[in-house]
Amino acid sequence: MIKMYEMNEAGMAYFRELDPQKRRKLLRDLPDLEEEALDFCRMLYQQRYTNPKHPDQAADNWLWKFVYLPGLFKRRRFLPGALKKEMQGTLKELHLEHPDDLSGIHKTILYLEFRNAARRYLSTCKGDHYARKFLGLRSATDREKRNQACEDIWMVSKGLARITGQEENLEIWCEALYEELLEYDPDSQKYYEELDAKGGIA
Amino acid sequence: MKTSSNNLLKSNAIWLVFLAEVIIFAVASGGTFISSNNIVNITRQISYYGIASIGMTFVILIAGIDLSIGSIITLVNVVCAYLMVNMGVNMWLALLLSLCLATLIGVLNGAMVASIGIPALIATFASQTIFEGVAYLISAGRPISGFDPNFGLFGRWSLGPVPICAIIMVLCFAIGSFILNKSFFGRYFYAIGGNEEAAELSGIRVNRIKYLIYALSGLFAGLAGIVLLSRSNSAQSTVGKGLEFDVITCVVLGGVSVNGGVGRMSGVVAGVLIIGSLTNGMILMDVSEYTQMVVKGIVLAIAVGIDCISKKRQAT
Repeated sequence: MIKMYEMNEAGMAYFRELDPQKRRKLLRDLPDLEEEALDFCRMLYQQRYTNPKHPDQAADNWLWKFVYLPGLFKRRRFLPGALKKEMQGTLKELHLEHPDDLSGIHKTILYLEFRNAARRYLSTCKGDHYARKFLGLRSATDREKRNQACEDIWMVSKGLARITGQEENLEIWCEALYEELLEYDPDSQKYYEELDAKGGIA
Repeated sequence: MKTSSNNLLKSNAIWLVFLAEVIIFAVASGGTFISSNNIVNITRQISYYGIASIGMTFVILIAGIDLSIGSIITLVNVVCAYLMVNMGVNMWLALLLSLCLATLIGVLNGAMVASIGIPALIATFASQTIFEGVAYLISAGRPISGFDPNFGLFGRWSLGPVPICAIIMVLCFAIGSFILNKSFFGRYFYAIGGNEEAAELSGIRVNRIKYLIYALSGLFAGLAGIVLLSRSNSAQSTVGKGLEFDVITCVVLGGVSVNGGVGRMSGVVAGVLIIGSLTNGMILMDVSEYTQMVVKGIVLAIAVGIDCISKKRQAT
């Protein structure tokens, strides 16, 4: 269990907001945070929302992890090299290469930022396009969407951590995603545990 | 250990099916099925729908479908032949123009699906009907033949014992595999198939990628049409009829999920080999064309059924 530092209301509002533009404004209203922690928040914001190839275009590089990594997890037996390379890059991007070197407040900020990214992903899992069946002709039921979201979250966190042997490094990431999943759908705990016991579905 | 061997078996099951099929036909035909002549024959037969299946793989990965593949093949056949024979256009220029036309039809499909929002099934069905009609109008229902002898390069010529059309198919599969596994576009295809809205929010221009995918599907179908025209040495306005179903069967049989986001090119290669061998084996066994249609339909139903059942099992 990660030791959490108290965040004031403005801080929590920042980490709850999903819209990048609104978050930018909220980021300016975090004066109570220590300068070092505030700098870390700003850096994470820049890293997360800057499109590396086209800086003028909107992007969410952490949300990309949620859409790309499940596909890589499913093809893990055929692309072991790509998976290893991607995981190395992911650890670096998520600042989890050496998590023990992070201070308590840094860990807290990372945890909350991960939860924010997971919440943004899960907010897209309610849409009509998500988990559509049979060549996109049939909409998924609510239960199907929730199960699919649970699978996606499990794959990008516990699943990938396990198959790449990065469970320790990805501990904060896994915990944040799991907690956010339970907030999104408390009933998914059982399915998540089943996935965990079976080692995934693919 | 047991789980890992189970996983290995599961992921290679499609190749075991292919092996079993080869053994059954080899025994039933008294060895003719695995003779070198017949193997060359099979590679020639599968080359065109193997090439077309690459584009279809991309489309199904984003949970779409392209029913216009058959009519693109037909139209490219007719247009290329018409340009070379009736208009005296240089062979290479005719090829280039035909491929551009096929790509343009793909872009049109992409526009209907991505920009207008017509369901892919309906949009590409409309294209299928339109371009089948256009092909008929151009050829007036009559076959066109009398090409430059060098045109046999793509369908009838061989490099040593290996048919050139098979080499083209292998090259196309290598390109398709590279796009899927090594390029950014491949990542985008899987991402859009997995969660379109999240893909858009993460910075992918989903509509542009959809255009690209349908354009690629058109291009590969066009290339398949050229190979088929070269092989048959005569253009006909009905040549591609129903081909899209063979192609869809190959792709789905190869493990590309009809729900999108899941599948790989090596599976599609196996799917193409299975359908090619099945067709050839049935011809060797003197099975009537209608019975072949029944068998292929059953194979498609089984392949889709397995995909749906496995997904349902995961959900319960």
